[in-house]
Amino acid sequence: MDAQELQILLIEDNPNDVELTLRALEKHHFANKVFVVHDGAEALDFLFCTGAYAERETNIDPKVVFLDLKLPKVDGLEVLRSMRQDERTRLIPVVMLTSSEEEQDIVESYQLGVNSYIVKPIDFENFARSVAELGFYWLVLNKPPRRHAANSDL
Amino acid sequence: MSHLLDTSSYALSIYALPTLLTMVAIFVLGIVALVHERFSPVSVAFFAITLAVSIWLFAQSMLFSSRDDAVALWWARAAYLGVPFIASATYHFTVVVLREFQRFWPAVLLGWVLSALFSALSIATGALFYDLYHYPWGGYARFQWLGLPFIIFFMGLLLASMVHYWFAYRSAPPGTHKRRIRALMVAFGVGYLGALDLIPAYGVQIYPFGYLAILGFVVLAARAIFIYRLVDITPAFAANEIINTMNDGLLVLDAEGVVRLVNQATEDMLRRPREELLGNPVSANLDDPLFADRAQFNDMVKQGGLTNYELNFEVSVGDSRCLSLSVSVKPGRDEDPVAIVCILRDITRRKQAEEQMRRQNAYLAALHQTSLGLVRRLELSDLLEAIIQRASMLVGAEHGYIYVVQQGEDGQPVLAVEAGIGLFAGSVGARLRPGEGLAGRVWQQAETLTVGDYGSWPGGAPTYKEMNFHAVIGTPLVSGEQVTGVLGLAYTEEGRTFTQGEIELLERFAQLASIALDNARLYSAARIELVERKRAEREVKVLNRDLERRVAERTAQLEAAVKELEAFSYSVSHDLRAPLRAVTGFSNAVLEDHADKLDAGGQRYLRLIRDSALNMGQLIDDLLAFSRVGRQQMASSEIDMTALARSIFKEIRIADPGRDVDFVIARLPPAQGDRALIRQVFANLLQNAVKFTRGRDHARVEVGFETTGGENVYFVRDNGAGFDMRYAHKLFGVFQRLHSASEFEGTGVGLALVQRIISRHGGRVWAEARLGGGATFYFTLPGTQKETPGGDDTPTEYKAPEKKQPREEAIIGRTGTADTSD
Repeated sequence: MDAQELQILLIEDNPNDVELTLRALEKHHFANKVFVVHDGAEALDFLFCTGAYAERETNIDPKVVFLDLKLPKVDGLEVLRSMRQDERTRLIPVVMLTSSEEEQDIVESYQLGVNSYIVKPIDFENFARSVAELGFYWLVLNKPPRRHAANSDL
Repeated sequence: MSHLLDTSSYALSIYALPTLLTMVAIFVLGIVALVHERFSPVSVAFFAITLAVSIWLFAQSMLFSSRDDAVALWWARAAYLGVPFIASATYHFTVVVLREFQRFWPAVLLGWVLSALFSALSIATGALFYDLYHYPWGGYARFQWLGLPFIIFFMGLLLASMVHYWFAYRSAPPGTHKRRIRALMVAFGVGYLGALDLIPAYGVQIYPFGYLAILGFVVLAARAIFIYRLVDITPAFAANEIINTMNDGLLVLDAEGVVRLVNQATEDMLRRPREELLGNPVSANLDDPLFADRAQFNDMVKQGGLTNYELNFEVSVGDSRCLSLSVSVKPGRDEDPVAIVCILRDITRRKQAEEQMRRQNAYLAALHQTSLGLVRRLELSDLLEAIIQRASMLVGAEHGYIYVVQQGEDGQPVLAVEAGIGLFAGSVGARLRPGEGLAGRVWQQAETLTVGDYGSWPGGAPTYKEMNFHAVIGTPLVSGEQVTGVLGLAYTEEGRTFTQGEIELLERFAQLASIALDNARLYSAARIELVERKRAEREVKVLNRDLERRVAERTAQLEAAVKELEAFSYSVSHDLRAPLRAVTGFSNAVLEDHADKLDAGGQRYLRLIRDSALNMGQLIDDLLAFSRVGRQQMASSEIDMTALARSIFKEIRIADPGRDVDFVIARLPPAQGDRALIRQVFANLLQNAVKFTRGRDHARVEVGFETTGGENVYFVRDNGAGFDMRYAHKLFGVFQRLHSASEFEGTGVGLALVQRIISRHGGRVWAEARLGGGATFYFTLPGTQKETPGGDDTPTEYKAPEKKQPREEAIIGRTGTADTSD
C-alpha cells in the first residue's frame, strides 16, 4: 500500500465488522485508503513503527483512526492512552467505533482525549450510513493539523 | 447683842430639852439621808426640810432657855430663819418625789423667795414679832400684823403639797409608787400637826408640842423612803437580792457543819423550809445526806479548796432529783475553815436530756451500722441477721426475732421466722398464720403490739410460753402499704416491760430496717436483672458479630455478583451485538449484491433473518438500559417537568414526522429526581402513548397531574388501544407484553424500566385503562414539594388558570403541522 494513500487506520478484531466497514467505505470510494490492524498490540506497532512495522515510513500518519474498544492483547482505551501520551500520535484524530453504550466507556474515552464516540448500529443500513458519513467527515471535511507544524510547536 | 453670848442670859430649861434632842435627831437623819442618797435631788430636798426644822427647834430651845426678854425675842425671831423654809422645803420635796419638778419649778422658786422674804422681815423688822408672851414653859413671840399673811402662806404651801400628793395618789397605778405616796401623805399629815406651835403666838396658852409631830413626820418619811427604796441600793442589799433570786441553791455551813445560810432556791430544791435548815447540822435534817457521811465531810473540810460532785437526792418518795454540788471551803487564819459554801444545782432535766441524747446517738449509731450493713451485705439473710442484732443492742433486749411474709405451700401467705437471737435463735423456720400469736396479730393489724406478761397471755403460743418470756413486743416491717414482716424483741426478766421510749425507738428502727430490706430486695432483683441483661448483651454482641460477618460475606458475594453482571452486560453489549450486525449486514449484502440469484421467497427469508436480528439487537439494548438503571448513581436535582415533557414531545415529533397527534400539556409542578432517568420515564410513556394511538383518527396524548392524598401524581393519558385491566399486574414486568408484536412492536422492557426508575425514586407507578378506550399511566415522586401551579390545590388537571398565567393547555404541537406555539 502506498503510504501516501493512508487515510484511515481501522483497528478492529472482528473480521465481519472489518468486512462490513470496508464494504460501507467501498461504496463511497474510501476503501483503498484504509489500513486494517486486528489487535491493540499490532496497532501500537504500526503507529510507533515498531515490531512488524519497524520499516514503515515514520512520518506518514493516518488522517483518522477508527478504534474498537474491545481488542485482543491491548484494549482500545490502552491504545488511545498510549497515543495521547506520545508526541508523535498525540494529535491524530481518534474515533471510537464500538458496540458499547456503557456510560463508563464513553466518559473514559473522552477523558483520554477521543475525538468522537460512535456506537455501531446493528442495522447494516444505519451502520453503513454512519461509516460513510464518518469517512466523509474526517477525510473530506475535517482539517487536521500538519504533523511537522504541530511538532515544531511543542 | 452681847447678851446673846453671855451665858448668864441663859438658864437650862427642862422645856428646852425635848426640842433640842428632837432637833439633833432630825438633823442627823437629814445628814444620813443626804449621804446615803449621794446628794440626789430627793435627799437634798429632804435635808433642806430637816435643816429648816433643826434651825427652828434649836432657836426654840434657846428661846425657852433665855432669861432675858431681849435675848428671848432675838431667838424667837431667829426661829423664823428656819420656820418659813419648812413650808418651801416641804413643797420642794413633794414636787421632786412626785417627779413633777420640771412642771412646777416656778412655784417651788416662788415658795423659796417668799420664805426668804418672811425670814428677812422677821429678823430685820418688827412686822412679825416685837414682843413676847410669858408662858410657864418660857417666852413665846407674839405675832404682829404679818402673822396672818405668814400663816396663810405657810399653810397654803403645805396644803398645796397635800393636794399634789392627793392627785398623784389618785392617778398612780397600784404598786410601790402608790404605796410610797400614801406613806408620805400619812407622814406629812402627822407633820402638819406641827402647825400647833403657831397657836401660842396668838396668846393662847398651849404648850407647843409641834416638835413631836415633826419628829413623827421625819420618822415616818424616813421609813417610807427606806421601805420604798428611795435610798441607795447597797452592796449588801444587792448581795441579799442575788442570793435570794439566784437559780442555784446556796447553803453555807460553819466549820461544825451547821447551816448558817440558805436561800430560796435551796429551800425549793431540798423541799425543806428555811427554818428547818438554819442552825442545824446538815445531816440531821436530810434523810439522804448531801455529804455521804461525817468522815467524808471532815475529809472535804480538811482538804479545803473546791470539790465538785453529783448525787441523786430523793426529795420525797419516788421523786429523785439529780443535784450537782460545788463545795468550796473557806479557810480561816489558823487553817481551820470558817465557812463551807455549797452551790447546789438541779441537773435532773439536763441529765434527762443527756440520756435522751445518748439514746439518740445509740439510735443513730444503730442506724449508721444498719446502713453500712445494707451496703456491705448483699445477702438478704445477712441483713436480717444484722437487723435483729442491732435492734437487740439498741433496746437492750436479749431475745429478738424477725418474721418475713412468705408464700406458703398452699399458696396462702404465711409468716416465717427468718432470723432469731437469744432464745429465738432456734425458732428459725417457725410459721404463723395471720392473726396467730403476737406476730400474726401485728401482721394483721399492721401496728406495734406489746404483751406485758406473755406467760398469762391467752394469745401466746405454747412453744414460746415454755421459754418463760415476760414482756414481748412486735412491730411491723412495711414496704409501701404492705406488711412484709414483723420485728420483735422479748424480755425474760420478771417485771421488766417495754417503756414508751423503747417502743418508739423500736418502731423507728423498724422503719429504717424496712427500707434497708426493701433496698436489699431491690438490689438483689437488680443484680439478677443486670446479670441477665449482660448475658443478653453478650448474646446480642455475638449475634451482631455473626450478623456483621454474614452481611460482609453476603455483601462480598453480592458485589462479586454485581461485578459478574457488569462484566456480563458489558460483554453482551459488545460481543452479542457484533454477530447481529454481521447477520443484518451480510443479509443486506446478499440482498444488494446477489438479489438476482434469489427468488422472491429467498429474498423474504433473508429479510426475516435481518429483521429478527434487528429485533434481538433492540432487546439487548433495552435489557442493558434496564440493568443500567439499577446500577447507576442517581443525581437528584429539581426538574422542570413541564419543560421536560415538552422537549420529549418535540423529539418524538422530529423522529416520527408522519404521525398526527394532539399533544396537551398542563402546567406541571417541578419534581425532585435524577433528570436523565425521569426523562427516560417520560420518553417511554410518551412513546408508548404515541405508539398505541396509532390508527386513531384523532390521536390525543395528554400530560397532566393531580393531587391526591397530599402528593402530586403525574399522568400520561392517551386515547389509544388501552388494555384489559385484568392483565394490569403484568404490565410492568420485564418482557411482559399485552399486545402482539404484529399489532404493536416492542420488547416489553419500556414499562419495566419506568417502574424501576420510579421505585428508585421512592415513588409509585400504576395504570388505568379500558380495552380500546385508552390508557392512563400515573406516577408519583415523593421528593417533590406538594405544590400546585398558581397555588390551586384542586386534584384535577389545571383547567381554569388565572388571568395572570397564560393558558398552557394550548396544543403545543401537532405532528405533521407547523408548530406555532414555541
